[in-house]
Amino acid sequence: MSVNGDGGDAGRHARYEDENIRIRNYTDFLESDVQPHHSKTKDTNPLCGAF
Amino acid sequence: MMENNRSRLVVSLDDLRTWDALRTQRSNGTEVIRETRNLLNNPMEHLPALDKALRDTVVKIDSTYPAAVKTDFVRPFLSFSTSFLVAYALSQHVALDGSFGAHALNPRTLSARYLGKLVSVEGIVTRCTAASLLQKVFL
Repeated sequence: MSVNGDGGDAGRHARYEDENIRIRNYTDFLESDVQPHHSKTKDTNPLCGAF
Repeated sequence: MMENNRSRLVVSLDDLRTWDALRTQRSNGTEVIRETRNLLNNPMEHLPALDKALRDTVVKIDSTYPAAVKTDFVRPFLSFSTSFLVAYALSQHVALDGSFGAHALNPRTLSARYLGKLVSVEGIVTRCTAASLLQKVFL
């Protein structure tokens, strides 16, 4: 059922999918060598040693 | 962050921009990744996702790391709602630095067009007061 024009279950599912895609994208970024590499050179980012 | 048992990771927007460009390049132009722009223009949806991604990554590296261990220690001394707030405050979050571009402001350039956007405001603090929550009492 649609509440406040949100598209109901379909809209909710789409938003959930979007959220999952965002989280997956950012997880890829955090696990990539782009961010920790930069941090090592700056030596200010404490997570760099964790990877 | 994890080595020092801290809960906040500083993420550089410049790194995120580099990653956007790399991802776009890797897809041979079929997909344009604009996570930095999305984060600056729509932080209400993207910042929680970045925080969640950080928590997922931390758990993947060390499942015993989550800050719940710390809250177990303080929980007996606090009410349930306060311990929930403490648990949220101690859980892993992201801090942002790097180039904010047009979103780097000062108090004079801070205007309503940046409502709901992620901005960096630079200025000199001349006076500050303790923030207190507005409490409503219903009788």
